[in-house]
Amino acid sequence: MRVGWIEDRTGARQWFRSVRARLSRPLPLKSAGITLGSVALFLLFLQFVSGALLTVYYVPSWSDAHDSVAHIVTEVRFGWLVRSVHVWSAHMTVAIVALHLMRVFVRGAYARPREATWWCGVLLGSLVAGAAFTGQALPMDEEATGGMAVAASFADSVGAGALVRGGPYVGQATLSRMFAAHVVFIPGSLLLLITLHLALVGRHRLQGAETMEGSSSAFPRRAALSCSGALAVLAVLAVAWPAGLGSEADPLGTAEHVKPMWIFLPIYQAVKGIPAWAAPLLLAIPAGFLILVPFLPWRRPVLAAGAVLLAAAVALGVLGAMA
Amino acid sequence: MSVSGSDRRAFLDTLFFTSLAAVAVAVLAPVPFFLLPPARARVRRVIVGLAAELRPGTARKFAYGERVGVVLHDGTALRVFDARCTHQGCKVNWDPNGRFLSCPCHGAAFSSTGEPLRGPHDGPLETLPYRITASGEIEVGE
Repeated sequence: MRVGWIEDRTGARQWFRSVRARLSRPLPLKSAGITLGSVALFLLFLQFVSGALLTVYYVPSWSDAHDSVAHIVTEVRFGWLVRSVHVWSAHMTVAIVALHLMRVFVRGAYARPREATWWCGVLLGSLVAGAAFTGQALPMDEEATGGMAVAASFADSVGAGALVRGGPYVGQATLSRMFAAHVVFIPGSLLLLITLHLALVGRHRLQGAETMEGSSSAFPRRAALSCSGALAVLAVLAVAWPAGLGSEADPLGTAEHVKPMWIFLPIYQAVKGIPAWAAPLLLAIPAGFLILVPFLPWRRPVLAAGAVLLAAAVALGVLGAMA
Repeated sequence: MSVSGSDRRAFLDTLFFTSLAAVAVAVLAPVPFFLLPPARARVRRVIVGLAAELRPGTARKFAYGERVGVVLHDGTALRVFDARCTHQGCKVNWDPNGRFLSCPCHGAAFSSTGEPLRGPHDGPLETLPYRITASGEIEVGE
């Protein structure tokens, strides 16, 4: 069959060419970390694939979820690998997205005309954090029930506790909601927002590239190289340190020394020292700052405020990890 | 009065987008109601065990519907609480040595009477009503 037949009906080649042309526009390649977004996208792709595979065996049931994950890692062939890839790429996604955000912040690339790209990115970052949080609840290990209780309590402070719990108390309905969020609502929103984010990047190009002309295939090659590097790191982590599975949650209690994933440690530590009603401020203040940042014209104070927030988060995180 | 083509077009556009908005509202309106869970019948009473079997200084957890309760013997009397920590909702555990209830999540501790001792909290633990049945069992609930 002639390629022209497909082309006539789909325009695929033309579309492919235009995408390639966009990717081949010259970029300020000397700038460090320019491929962080590409790596985040690649890792999210791995998350979608490994996550989709896990749904084949996972059972979102209060009493059977832990067994189903144990079945995946002990009996299903390569189950340990698929889960390990999902867990480790989740850690890497969160880390890379955080670095991507920090880089754009430091360079001030959120400024006009890229405000919408920035807000879209901030929303994407929150969704990635949400995916990490809800994913943590699914194995129903000792950390899961504590996490769900805390999430419901945060929601309670803004009157949305029932929406998280699915009833008056944390239970099966809560796990079902975590599952729905993790597997349907968050990934669906991610897909939509990633599309928008990329379209906006395509429209405004990268900071510093606005006036560059000509064509170069350097960026796709650099991005491919970065992604290969990320894949190599992921392979080593996933195979050398397969993701563990904690003991099954006690239905009657919260285990001693439960802690959330590292990215949530600053919040974990901070809620110890503030009243429950103030807990959502720990999310609202950084989120509000990031949303408002494109409107703040003072470059140095903004950078200083960002540094203070980061230092506070790191300090609290270290305290939380040691607690 | 004559009606021009553009007037007609503008009118039809308004009509179209208004109906579109109305349909969108009608379709989306049930969603928040769907997401908020309906109230379910609560468990009213549960038998926790024989009162005589609970030694002074010990405690026992029990399921109370979807809630978790804890009954403890503080040396003089039985005390029954909802195990939900008043800070962030994790489940408190009985410390038999210190004779207090502690929360593993953020370190709150409550006395055997449910009063907060230390750590982050939002008031005392919720007390659950109980009675001792004729056969000596602890029955929790109203």
